[in-house]
Amino acid sequence: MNLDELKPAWQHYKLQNSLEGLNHQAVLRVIDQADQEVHTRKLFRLVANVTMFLILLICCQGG
Amino acid sequence: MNSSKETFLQVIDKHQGIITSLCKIYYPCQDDQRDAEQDIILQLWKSFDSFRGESEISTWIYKVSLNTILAKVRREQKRPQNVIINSSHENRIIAPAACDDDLQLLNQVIQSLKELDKAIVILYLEGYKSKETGELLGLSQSNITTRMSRIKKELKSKFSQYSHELR
Repeated sequence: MNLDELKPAWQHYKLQNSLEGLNHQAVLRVIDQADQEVHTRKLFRLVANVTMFLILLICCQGG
Repeated sequence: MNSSKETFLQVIDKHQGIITSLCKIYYPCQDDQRDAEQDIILQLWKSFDSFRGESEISTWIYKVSLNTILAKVRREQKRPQNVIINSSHENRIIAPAACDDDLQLLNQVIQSLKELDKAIVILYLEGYKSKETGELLGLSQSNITTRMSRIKKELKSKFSQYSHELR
């Protein structure tokens, strides 16, 4: 069996699957959710860093 | 909607055939296909800004999609229940997707392979050389060449008679 003979079939298969139509709303929902997670993570990191900075500031004031 | 989202949607629209085909090959069940599609879209979106156009956009889509699916499959294989569910569906995808002999043979050939071998054969059918396939899957060129010759040998013994019957 020669795999090269299946190359046109693979192109056909892809073409068939490209005709199914994409749900833009579903894609946008995934994208928006990902963006939301990034913002939340950034905010969390900012809060953690500020807290750490304040702790260091308070603890290192002696002298 | 901002312009990068619009561009991303256009890219996904244009290359939807790749994403859907890969999901259908690896996941027979429709719900699993949708999950895999969402995972791929998420990974594509995350790396969309860093895509510099050094390779074809379809190459980038293959790279992200196949690596996302292979990682997902590996994660799921650690959970024995899922393997059982998937294997019970395995033979069902062949029939509906295939509408002629070549498509049927393509499906049967791909479904007879292990997960990583499927990716190697798909990239071969897409016309990628072993060096490019290695780069896409994070393997060495010699590894791909060795695997490919083993796959060809296996397929020859499995399908030489069967491909006759199909034609």
